[in-house]
Amino acid sequence: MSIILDHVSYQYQDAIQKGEYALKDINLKINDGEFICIIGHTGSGKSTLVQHLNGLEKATSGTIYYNGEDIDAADFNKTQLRGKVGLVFQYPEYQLFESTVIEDVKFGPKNLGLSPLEVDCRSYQALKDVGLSEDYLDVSPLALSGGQKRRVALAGVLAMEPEVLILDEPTAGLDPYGRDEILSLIKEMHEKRNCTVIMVSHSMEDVADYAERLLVMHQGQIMLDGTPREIFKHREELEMLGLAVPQITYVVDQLREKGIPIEGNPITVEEAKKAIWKAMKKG
Amino acid sequence: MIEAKDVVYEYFRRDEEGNVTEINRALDGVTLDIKKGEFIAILGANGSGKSTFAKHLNALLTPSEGTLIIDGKNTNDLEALWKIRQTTGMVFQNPDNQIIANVVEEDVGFGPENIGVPTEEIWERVNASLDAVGMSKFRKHSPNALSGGQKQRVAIAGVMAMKTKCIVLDESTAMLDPSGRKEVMETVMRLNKEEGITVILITHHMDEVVNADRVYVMYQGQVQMEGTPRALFSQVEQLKEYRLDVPQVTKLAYELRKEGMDLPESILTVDELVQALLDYKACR
Repeated sequence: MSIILDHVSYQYQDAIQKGEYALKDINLKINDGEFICIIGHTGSGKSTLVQHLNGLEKATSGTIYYNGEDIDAADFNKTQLRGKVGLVFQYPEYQLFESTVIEDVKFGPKNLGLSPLEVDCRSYQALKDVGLSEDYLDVSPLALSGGQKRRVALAGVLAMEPEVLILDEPTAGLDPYGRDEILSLIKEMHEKRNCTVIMVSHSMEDVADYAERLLVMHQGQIMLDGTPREIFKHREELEMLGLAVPQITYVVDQLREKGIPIEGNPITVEEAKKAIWKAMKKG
Repeated sequence: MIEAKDVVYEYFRRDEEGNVTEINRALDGVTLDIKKGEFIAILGANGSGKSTFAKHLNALLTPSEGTLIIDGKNTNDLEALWKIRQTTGMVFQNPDNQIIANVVEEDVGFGPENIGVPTEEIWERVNASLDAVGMSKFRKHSPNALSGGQKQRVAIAGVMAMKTKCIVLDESTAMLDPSGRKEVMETVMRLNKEEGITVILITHHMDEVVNADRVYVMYQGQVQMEGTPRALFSQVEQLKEYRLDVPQVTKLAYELRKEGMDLPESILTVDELVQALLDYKACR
């Protein structure tokens, strides 16, 4: 089980003459069960890339394989693909449209042609998974708070029971508590349902805490691909691309420059705490 | 510059017949005092009332109870409305929702043109504003081709061109990448220091707050905490109760202190933590 992008390029209609690429010769294999984060400055191609993965955008050239099948082949079932690769857009709360929470969540699974009973089961389960109590089932989604709306939107995608869950900046605009809630929820879904997670993020700190693999995009290309620990070693390259490393990585780097021998490459608060303690006790 | 006294604001929810079904008190007795030239940050969870309060600062909303004085004018005084709107300018979250013209310089000139500023002076203002935000070389560009950070700087220039004394940034960096956020923050801080503009920054990014003169923390429509960033961020547990956080370095310092390392109580920046650790090492 995997998604493979083979020499995938994408050009917007009006950019073809100018020779500009939104995606340029992307070669990528996404393995089953990975937790991948994608970082890159605005306009680097992150959102365009993820929209290719469930067939919303069609590559100008190159091929995308889902479990070995070419998703642009004439006999490939794209509707089914959209059920298997669930995409949660930026600010998904603006896309709720049904009159009640439960109806909104049911919309996705209904479109997959499941039996009404199956649709119900999945929708109730998804709402339970995102932590919305039954009191909210028949409430208008518009009456909910921002964080609750985002959960409803996420539940709508979860109810399709996707094999791959893609989230485009799921924490933008949330307060720190709401941010932690959504991220731990995504992590839980990753572990409990064993689904592949692909998350676009601007927060280096969140990425360091959650990603197993990190892709760095720039001008439509993947510049770096590795574990967060490997990638955050490339501080200067990241800064040149308009990105950064987690705040504590700067602390560790500066301490080293001043001659304090800090072991390893800590990228989270917990790791940095241990490494700094150890270095402080020595000598 | 801004004096709020017991400001209450209630949203009414009505059914189809127009009967009030629910009253939601978004602001519940907000009292605060912001001086000219201050750099103020307002923190608060989603739904804490910060944006509702921000909309009061240029009289998009007016208090249901209490009084709000902006630069000596009461926002409930209809006659003063236009003066107030020229005193305080707003920059919102989504850069794409606040740019209207096809060319950067026309977008910046839109505000002054609307209030009947003579053409020559409009251009003077546009030049000065674009200079102030470092966007002069993009003046003939289409806003569509700009990055998020650049768009927000154009929006700030548009506010500057109105000769406002006060800029309110309502989560203006939420949709930006790290370099875009840095651009906007540096621009705003420069306007504050060099032009003496009063800045009110509403944000969820704790690391943007460390340079503010003072911070207000809102929760459930009320101001719960007030102080310098240093005083505030030393209260890690208290902030958590209000669904907030501290910058990552502050958290690291807090964790190290909790384990028994003798570090100063409130560390806000990378440099401060590095220095504190070096001092600690030297003492041992």
